[in-house]
Amino acid sequence: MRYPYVRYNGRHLPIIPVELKKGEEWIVFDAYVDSGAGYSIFHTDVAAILGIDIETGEESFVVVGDGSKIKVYIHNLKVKLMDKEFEAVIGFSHRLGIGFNILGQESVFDRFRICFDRKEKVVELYPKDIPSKADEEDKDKRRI
Amino acid sequence: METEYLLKHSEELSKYFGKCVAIVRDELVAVGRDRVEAYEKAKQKYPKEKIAVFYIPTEEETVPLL
Repeated sequence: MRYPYVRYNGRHLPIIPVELKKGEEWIVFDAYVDSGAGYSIFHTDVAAILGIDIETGEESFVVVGDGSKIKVYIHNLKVKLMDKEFEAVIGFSHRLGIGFNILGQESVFDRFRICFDRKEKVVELYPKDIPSKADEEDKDKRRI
Repeated sequence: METEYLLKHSEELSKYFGKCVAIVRDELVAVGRDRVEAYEKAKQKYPKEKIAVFYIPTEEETVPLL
């Protein structure tokens, strides 16, 4: 699926919808797709909506852009991305310095092929269980 | 797609920078200081609908992340 970048203040950002489960309810949140992030980090107000006590999660630390470490609490949560439901590792932090939720590699980049097309201003996600166009072309070549 | 609203209206949403908005069926239904406030306002109005809660970034937050 192709997700056009969202434009804010004249800048285009790779923001996509991610659903998280609260009981039987799916709630949609926006997340900034960041291939440089080891795993996803969401804001504590997301945890509050979901009724999660973040400090019950495993404590870990991540290094951010200025070299400092921030504490995160790791949880395994039900996530829906492009109608694909799976369990994902998500960290919550009181010290996330930006307002966005961050969608990082762990649990996500191993389930989807993700391509940032900066020129076209789209981010493309393909579930790994669906062959990509390149895979199909490879198969065609092998048939010939 | 839930971000459809953002794609169509992101520039006008800039007036809510630093706040959160709740979208239900492609309509802006609530604004809050944080996601909890936006979600709860939307939930009160639309208890059975799917709610999308989006953060509207400040100008500083739209510069490239490292």
